[in-house]
Amino acid sequence: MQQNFLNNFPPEIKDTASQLYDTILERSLMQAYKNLDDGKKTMMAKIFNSDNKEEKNNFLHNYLGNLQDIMMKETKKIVAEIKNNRTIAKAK
Amino acid sequence: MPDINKIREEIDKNNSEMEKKRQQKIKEEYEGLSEQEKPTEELIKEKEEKTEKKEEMTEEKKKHSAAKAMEGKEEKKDLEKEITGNFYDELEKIKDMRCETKKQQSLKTKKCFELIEEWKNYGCSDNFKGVQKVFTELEKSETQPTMAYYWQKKESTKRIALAMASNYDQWNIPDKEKIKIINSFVKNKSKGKEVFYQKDKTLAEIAQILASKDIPYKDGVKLIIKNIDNPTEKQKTIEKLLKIEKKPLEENKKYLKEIKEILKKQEIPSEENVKEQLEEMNILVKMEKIIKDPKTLSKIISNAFEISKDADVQESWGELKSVIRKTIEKAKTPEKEEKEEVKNVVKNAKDFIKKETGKKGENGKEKKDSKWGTGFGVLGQGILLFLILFMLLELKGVDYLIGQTSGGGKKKQ
Repeated sequence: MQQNFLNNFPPEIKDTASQLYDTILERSLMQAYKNLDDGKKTMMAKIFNSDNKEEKNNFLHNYLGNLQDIMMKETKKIVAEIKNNRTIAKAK
Repeated sequence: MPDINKIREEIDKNNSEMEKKRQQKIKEEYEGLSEQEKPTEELIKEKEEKTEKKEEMTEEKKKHSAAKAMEGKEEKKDLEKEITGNFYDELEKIKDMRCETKKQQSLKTKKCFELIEEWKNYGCSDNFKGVQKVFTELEKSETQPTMAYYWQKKESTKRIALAMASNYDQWNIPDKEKIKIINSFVKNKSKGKEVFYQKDKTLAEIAQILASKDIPYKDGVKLIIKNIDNPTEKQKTIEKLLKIEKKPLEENKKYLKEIKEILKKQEIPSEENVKEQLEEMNILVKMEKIIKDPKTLSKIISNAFEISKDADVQESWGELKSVIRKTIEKAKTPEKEEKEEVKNVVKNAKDFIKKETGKKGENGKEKKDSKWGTGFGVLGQGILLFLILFMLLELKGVDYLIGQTSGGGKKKQ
């Protein structure tokens, strides 16, 4: 139950939540990438184009340690945006 | 009493400097007077005798206050000894607390956190041995740690570590040993959920505090820096240290004062404080509790099915989906303007993270991955559940986070 909890939800809810999560993850990664200096950006491109799992994990641990904080903030942001857009849509 | 001798030496030195200044001033005043105004030899002698008497009295006074200060120091030491003794007593009581039920366990954990916080400012008197013993007791008593526990432990570890650094001059052991204790304390006590893993950040702060206290880099601050694993954090800290060394002493003193104020002001990081201080983390704590509780999770799932089939909600669901779709599109707009290679790097990283945090082991059990992956998995699940609950709240007004409906009437879940 714990590990597959998402699969137990109605498909529509599950898919919408997954899409939102994807967007949050992407936005957070983009922000974290932009925070890196040029040298690290090149290093990240090289590592994530390769198949070296260990290097990828090390890079995430060493240089994107704040990704989790960014994700929490992005989640709050996107939820606020939805609420706001919904209010605007209802007003129309 | 070597301290008194030192104080006396200082007093003598000050007196001789003051005497020189006084003579110089008299000379200047004398030269500035007209012949008639100039005092006679007798008058000068009389004045000097008076001044000497006055100085003798001042010296006596100074000696007296130095002795008083020493007495004060002794008294302070005695008081600290007594307080430390009380803390050890408290620790013994905690050790004897029962820890069989969840309630007993949670009370014991609470008492441990409270004692750590209280002991923090007096830790120097036994070189932080006692506080570390409370941590050991805390770890023994918590057999089913939650996110809240990890968060509290992280906060307490950081606060003790900062107290160790900001009271560095008050320990009773050589510098090398102090550094060794600080390093091993931060290293060992920072273990836990990756989400709360802050070893490097804490060490970076300690290094800055020590540098502000003029602790030499070599054989001192350097040994703290050495234990920072993250190269970016290490680099940033060294850059900050260079700036600290250039700052005037007054500014560094101000910085240390601020740190001490922070340590004084913040109270014990109780579960209530977790909620108030860290809203984001609080969401995760709640989500983890729900995910770990099959009963609550089943209720939410069945409610979600009901809602999805409810004819009254269909229109609302369609509208919400449309808003979410538009929000996602809008959120992706700035990204579309990025270079193709940047988009590729982000996409590859995203795919890797999703694969690493979502996969299973061969027997269907969760696969043990890197510490980073495990921590990120917890975070990902928390965010996903939060998004689902948010949608349910928007659709039907059922708030599983506080057990209320947004439409006015209460609906405990």
